Amino acid sequence: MALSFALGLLAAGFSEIITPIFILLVAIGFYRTRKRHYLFALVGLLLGFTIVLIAPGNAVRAAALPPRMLITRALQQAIAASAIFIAQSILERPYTLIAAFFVGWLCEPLRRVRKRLRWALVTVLLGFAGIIYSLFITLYGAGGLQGRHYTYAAFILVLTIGTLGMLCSSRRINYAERTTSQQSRNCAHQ
Amino acid sequence: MIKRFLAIGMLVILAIYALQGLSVQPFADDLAFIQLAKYADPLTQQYYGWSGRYSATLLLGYLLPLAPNMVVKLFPALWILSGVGMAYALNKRRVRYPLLMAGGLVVAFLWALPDLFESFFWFAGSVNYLTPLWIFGILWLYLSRSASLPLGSLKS
Repeated sequence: MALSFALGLLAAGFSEIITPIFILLVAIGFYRTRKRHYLFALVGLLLGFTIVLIAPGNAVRAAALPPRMLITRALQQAIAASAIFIAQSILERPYTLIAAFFVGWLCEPLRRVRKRLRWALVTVLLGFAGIIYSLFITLYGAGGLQGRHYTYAAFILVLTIGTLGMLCSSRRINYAERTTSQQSRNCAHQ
Repeated sequence: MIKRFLAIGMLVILAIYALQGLSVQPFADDLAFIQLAKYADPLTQQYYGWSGRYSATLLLGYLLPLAPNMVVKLFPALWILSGVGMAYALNKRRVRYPLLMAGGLVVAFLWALPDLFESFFWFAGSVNYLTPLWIFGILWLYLSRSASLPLGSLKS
């Protein structure tokens, strides 16, 4: 449990952009499992995030950057930047998305996935939301986007496409299971 | 058989990226931290003077100045190795070909980065943006095993 706390504290001390997502995931994990390890990790993450946010140096850095834009304007620009990033990924680096999709498709999930269309929609929505969130926070805090600020957007995009590939692959498992159970029933009737 | 060859192919591509990392030199913020470490305590100076990112400062202000060239050259290979390892461990019980998934996703991620140098090869950039993913991956693996859950699953 001390290790959970220590790792949480360490993970929170890097980027303010990704830490809230870590907190959310661990909070969901704690809610589902009620295990103390998740609670200690959550406390470590929250403490670390607080330490990062209250640092006096943040004010010095903010003074050196352009004035913060309005939240609505940052959100508008984040949505536009996300759309451009996705479009560029499709047009300039299509091999990336093809590779991510086929990797997910070829890997063959071991478990059957029910309601694949619903999960696909949820995946796409979460993917979009994640990309917009990562760019919004950067725009609101730093005022502009540079190459490294798209790191999380790229990560989320690849995970989203890979997951869609896995969902498509699970169709084969669903079909195989249905065929097997159909054959079993036919044998039983005979 | 084909999938095994594909997995090996992915690992070969990642090895090429790791070898490319050997030609990286300290750049911009890396050099600033190396100089800072000579004259002041990096953690205090950064926390009160620029940014509260204490974990990033630990790596940039204390680890990097120990052996700047070796650290920046080996870090990409270390990140690739740990990224593949974690993705493999997280997916071992979820997919039939976890090594293909691990290698393939890391390759796809590196290809998806608009600026590979700023996000991956540049030590300061990768410390700030990639390393938290790495640390959180370790944390999630530990939580999953400690709580006796299937790896990578939120369900009990």
